[in-house]
Amino acid sequence: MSLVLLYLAGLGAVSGRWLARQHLAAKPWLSAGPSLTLPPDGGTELAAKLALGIFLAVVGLLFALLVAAYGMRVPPGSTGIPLDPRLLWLTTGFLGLASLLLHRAGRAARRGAEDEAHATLLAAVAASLVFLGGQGLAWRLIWEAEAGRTADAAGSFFVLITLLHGLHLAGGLAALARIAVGAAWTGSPARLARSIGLCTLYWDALLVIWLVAFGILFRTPWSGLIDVLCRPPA
Amino acid sequence: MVDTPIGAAGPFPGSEPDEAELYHPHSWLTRYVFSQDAKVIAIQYSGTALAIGFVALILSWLIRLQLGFPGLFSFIGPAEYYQIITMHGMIMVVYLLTAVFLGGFGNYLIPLMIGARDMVFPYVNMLSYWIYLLAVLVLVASFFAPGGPTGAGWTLYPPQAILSGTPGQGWGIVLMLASLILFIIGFTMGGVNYVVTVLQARAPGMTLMRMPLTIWGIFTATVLALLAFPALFVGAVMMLLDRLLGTSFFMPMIIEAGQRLHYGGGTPILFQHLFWFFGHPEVYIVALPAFGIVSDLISTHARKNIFGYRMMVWAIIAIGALSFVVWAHHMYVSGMNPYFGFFFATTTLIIAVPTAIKVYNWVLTLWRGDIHLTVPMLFAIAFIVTFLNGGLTGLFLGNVVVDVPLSDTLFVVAHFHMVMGVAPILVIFGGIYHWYPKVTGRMLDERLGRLHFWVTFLGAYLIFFPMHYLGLLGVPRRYFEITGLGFIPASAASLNAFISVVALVVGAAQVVFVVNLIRSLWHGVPAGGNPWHATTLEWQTPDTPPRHGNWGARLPVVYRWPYDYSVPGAAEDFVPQNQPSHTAGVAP
Repeated sequence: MSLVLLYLAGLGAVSGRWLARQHLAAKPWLSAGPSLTLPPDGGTELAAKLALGIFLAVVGLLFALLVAAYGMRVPPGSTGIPLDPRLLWLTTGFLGLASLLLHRAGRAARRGAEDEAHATLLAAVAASLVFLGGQGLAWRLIWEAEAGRTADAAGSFFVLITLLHGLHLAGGLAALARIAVGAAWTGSPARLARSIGLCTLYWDALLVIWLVAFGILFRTPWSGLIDVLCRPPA
Repeated sequence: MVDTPIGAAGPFPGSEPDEAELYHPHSWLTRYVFSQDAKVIAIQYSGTALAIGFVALILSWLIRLQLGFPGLFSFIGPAEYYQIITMHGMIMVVYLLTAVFLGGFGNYLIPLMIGARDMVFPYVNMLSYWIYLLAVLVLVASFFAPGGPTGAGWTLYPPQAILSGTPGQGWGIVLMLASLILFIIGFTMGGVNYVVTVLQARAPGMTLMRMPLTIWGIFTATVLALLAFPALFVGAVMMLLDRLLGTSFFMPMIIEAGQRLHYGGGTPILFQHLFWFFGHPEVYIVALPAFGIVSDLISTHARKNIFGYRMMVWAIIAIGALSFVVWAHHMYVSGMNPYFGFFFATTTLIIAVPTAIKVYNWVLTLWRGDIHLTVPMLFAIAFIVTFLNGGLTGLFLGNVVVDVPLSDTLFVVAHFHMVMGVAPILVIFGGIYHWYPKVTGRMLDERLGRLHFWVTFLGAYLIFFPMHYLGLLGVPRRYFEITGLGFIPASAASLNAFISVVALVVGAAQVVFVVNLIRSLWHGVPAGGNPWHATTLEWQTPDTPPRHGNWGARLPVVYRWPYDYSVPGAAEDFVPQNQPSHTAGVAP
């Protein structure tokens, strides 16, 4: 659970830094008057960003718990998952591409190039669907090889992590579809840019989460670091 | 005190939905059923939680009937007994307490107490309730499923939770896990909403250090819940896969009735870590809102400012942070490295420090106050005593050497019922008696309230106080029938019977509460806008009950902290948060 505690310590540090600026040492019984210290007018956009940030912190913790559980459950000498990792490198590439395309769509929307934004948005959706399809194929291969039910549980974790990650991405796709339809309906480039910005943040976060999960499920250049963080000392 | 000019703060920001953006209901269905108004959602949450809570109350009667009069009720067999204790525990902890404090009090009080029009995302808030309701229905469905509900115990420990010897191994455990997953999804929607609303939608002048302690408690508890529930979510999903797909996350190699099952290599201890990583913060998810509400009740009904407001805020934050590093004190008997045991015993004792600060500050708030022994105040004082009692036995159990012999006895049952069952429920009652006039515009009947209080309070002590002694005698918990244990004297059976009779009486007394709730809707004395002469914003709304949007044309402006009671020189013994000093007669 050290990875989880480290994650929580990180969140605690961010929260602590924020709290330190909230005048918690003030003596409210001594001061009267509307001494307003709310953030500048951010309106719904700021609230949506904050909500997404909090949600992503929760999602991050969910996957940190899964990675920690992997570290506690799967023996260090696990035979691993009987799947060609090149398939997953390919799907990872598509998720990264989707993320890049969303960045590009956001830039186009901010320039007011709505048609370009829409086309790039559709390409991002397509890349995400390819990622999901690839993950689904890997899921099926694992299941058919009965690797989801082995005693060392590496295959089971693959099934579980890709399932939960895929569901989160599917939720994001639903939101993205709603944004695309909503923007076409209202025709507001500024609103489109804001919404794409939120989706981009979500996709980036899911990409990072997937890279961490990929790193623990298969040998990748960053697997050693994750092992250090989530394996209990021998 | 000096008023600073309003102009310095305007134009007032805030991202709460403004009047034009609020979704106004156009039909009875969207006003009362699929409502996006946090106040209606609060009532829906509370109504659903209290309804399922009454189911859990009836289940507790059945438990007591079996323990008090074993063998007398043929419809309670060992399987039914385990199903009953499992459902009682889970319903009370998750579906009643968490839902009432966060979904009920949170939804009603957050927008009103911080001066917002509604939650920041009203539609998501509505979805949160409907998913909660679905979770409750799925849970209730397990009563009617083949094999009945799960009897795995409320902690759902594997491997027995999904083995065939456990009642409800078929549908029961699947529905329980599915219901928990739904609950967590629904809560996350609501929780994100509460946090963003507190951070972004406060009225002009409502700094964090001017928020009532109720809001601090609910806010911090929501953050805890957002960080604790993912562990239960992960555990529930993994166990569901073990049960349905045959994975072995938690299931070791097992031979059952001579047959080797297909499971192998799993770690039951992993589930315990996940469960208690959620389970211990859950204690504070329930306790922190209770702490906040009690602070406000005591200050209002003692007509005195809260003692040590800053310490109270810091203590809430400290308790919240520490609650994530004590979980393994629930696992001493599972075995662990002695140094870990020492670490978790130490953190458990440390968390008593901020908790004790709160208790001292409540008592010092009462000290020389103008105490009005109203029904909410009675419940608040009863909470302090009960929480102190339960907390002290928690200090015993936090130590490994004491916990190990007592862990499987009724001492633990008595401890956690005092600290996590009775104490927060006393606050729920106190909160309802306090805010019912704002919700309905009418007072609850005082005599019925007092009757309800004394029977509940004294009854709870008659039930749980002797139970500590039964535990010290070694009377085991979780047993269907206590026979053949020579070291337990016969008097233990008599005491068990006595406890059961009292439990029936206390349970029946809750009918008085329900009758009072319903009767007062029509026959209660009209309350007016601020019957308790309280300072916080919810009592300053232009309408009682508040209309959709809460504040009419203009949001309130906050000029002061929420505890200006008995201010020297003030025209009245309270100065509302939205009243400037010069109109309150307070010297600048």
